[in-house]
Amino acid sequence: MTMRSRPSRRSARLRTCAFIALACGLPLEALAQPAPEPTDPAALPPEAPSATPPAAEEDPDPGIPVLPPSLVPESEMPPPAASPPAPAATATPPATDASAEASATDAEAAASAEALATAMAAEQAAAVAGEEPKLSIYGFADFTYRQPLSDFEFAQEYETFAVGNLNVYFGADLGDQWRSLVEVRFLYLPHGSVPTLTPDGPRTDTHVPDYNDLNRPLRWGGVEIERAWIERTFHPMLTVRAGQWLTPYGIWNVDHGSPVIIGVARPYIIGESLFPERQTGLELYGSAYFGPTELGYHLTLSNGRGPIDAYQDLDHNKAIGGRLYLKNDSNLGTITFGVSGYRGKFTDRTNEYVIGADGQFESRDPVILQFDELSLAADFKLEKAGFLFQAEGIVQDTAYDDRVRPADPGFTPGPPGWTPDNRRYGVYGLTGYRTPFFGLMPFFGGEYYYIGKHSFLPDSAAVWGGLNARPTPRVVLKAQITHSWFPIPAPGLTSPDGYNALDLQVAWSF
Amino acid sequence: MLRRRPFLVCFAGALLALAAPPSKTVRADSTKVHLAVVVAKDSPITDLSLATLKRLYLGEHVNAPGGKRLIPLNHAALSQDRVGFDRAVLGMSAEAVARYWIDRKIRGQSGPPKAVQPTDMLQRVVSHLEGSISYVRRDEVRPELKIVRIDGRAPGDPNYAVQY
Repeated sequence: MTMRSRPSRRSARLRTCAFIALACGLPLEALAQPAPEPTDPAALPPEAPSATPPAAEEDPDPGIPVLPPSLVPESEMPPPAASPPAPAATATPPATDASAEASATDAEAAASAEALATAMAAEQAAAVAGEEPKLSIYGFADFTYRQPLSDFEFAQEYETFAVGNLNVYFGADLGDQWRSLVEVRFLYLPHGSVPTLTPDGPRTDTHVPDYNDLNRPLRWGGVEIERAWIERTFHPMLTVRAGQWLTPYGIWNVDHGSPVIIGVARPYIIGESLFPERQTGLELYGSAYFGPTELGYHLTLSNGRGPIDAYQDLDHNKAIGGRLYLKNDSNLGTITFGVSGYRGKFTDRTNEYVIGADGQFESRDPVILQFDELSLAADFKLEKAGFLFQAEGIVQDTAYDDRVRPADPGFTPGPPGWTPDNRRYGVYGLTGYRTPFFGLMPFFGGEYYYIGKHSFLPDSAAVWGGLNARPTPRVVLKAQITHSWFPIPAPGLTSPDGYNALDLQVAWSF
Repeated sequence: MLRRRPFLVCFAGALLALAAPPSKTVRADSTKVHLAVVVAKDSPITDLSLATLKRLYLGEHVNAPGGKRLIPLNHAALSQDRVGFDRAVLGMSAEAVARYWIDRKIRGQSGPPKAVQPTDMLQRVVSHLEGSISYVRRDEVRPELKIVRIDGRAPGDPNYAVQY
């Protein structure tokens, strides 16, 4: 009797609620389940099964804690509790109740698990079958305040705020070990830029009337394709990547994003592109393990460097490159040592339309600039607990084709003539220690860059140091003081005190 | 004097025991949670090295003996066993693991293993999903799963690595 009367009272309440819900325009599904009672997590046994429905998800972005995300805002997520491990004896025992209710629950759970496993397995199959793959959209950005601390001829003297990088990634697993990644950077440029060789020239102005806003001026910016590739993994020792990719050399160029790199500014040898920052072509990579040591490689074949290398090679000479590295994981920490190389030919051409000797119309594309380049690099990285040391050294040779050797614009000492072949090289070293306090990392580094003996200012150097803090894994705060100078100054051209600046940056991933 | 004050002997002995360098042999400690690395019963995997397990859970491509790629499945971030596993196998705190995956994705590398919860569901998925592997407390291992030895040791053995 009691058993019957309860459902009927519940049904009556549900009907009443449904009526109210309809009157209020609420979805009826809202009534299907009673609201969960708030649970005191402390009252739960250490590993009590969660009431959360079964779920398989790519770790919430790594970033962070999933536990019921709806209950705990990410920004307020406490650090992981160092709760004492529960003795094995107190762990929840597996269900052994053979009651009908338990059996039904067990069967349901088994069915859910099977469905979930099937879905996970089918995720790839679905992609192969042409259905929509799961697209992962994420990115990073940074905002910097720069305060010059001294006058310097080649730098802005005004303190300024700037949004530097706003990069968005589109990644997808395409099934059957195929993967794709596209990264674009949104820019304010070209607005306001001044051509490098004519610094007194007019600024680029991108103002246009915005038809959507009574033709008021709108200032548009550009998009830079940072990388766009597809890859297929055949074996841990062989993945083939095609498209545009970051050149796999050293450490910094691969770290790439401002939340990952420790300091604010790239070292000269990275920023001056002694290796091409990115290339378009094919890349093969893989690695093998010998005990705790990983031996890995990258081989590249690309258009090389050129004025339009992202989509057009202007010679038949493909650039080749590679990287070989050893990574050892031991009590000393994780030690990585690598060497990289790049060999390519830069070619620029122009178009001419002429009438040939036979009176036929001809199109020609004579070379207007061509040089060979060879870049070699070595890198070393040591990580142990929070300690980090990394260093890279790069040397680059350029040798011009005499037939198209460019005129010296007058930046070198001596009389005007032809641009000479050149060798540039440099090193940098960086060390820091990530403490457990707010992820605070004091860091210090130094660098030297030899520009070439024919340069007015043949070399430059800098030391920098500061703090890098990660209050959450996704947010990085940086404060850096930089002192740079020309070891061989040009009297009257450079300040003997060099250049000092303070940079404050917040970088974040999203 | 010693006879008169036996507690002094005990106290000194305790001090000596505390001051002595820890023995290299780690005995199976019943107060520690041993996590069993598990695969489906019909999986060809019986033994893994700790280094391979670490690589697997750091996003590296690891193949099973048959050549099929292993699919690591994880517990939810910040769950007790996940934090313990990350410390024991990866040698990283929860924050360090989170930083690791964020940095890795910004470098353009693959993302973290999928997390399945609750634990019971995780085990059931491992039993159904070919090539999958996970970990669970040793006394909670379901019958349809097989425990994988790590560096030749099973949970409960002395020097078993996956414990916290």
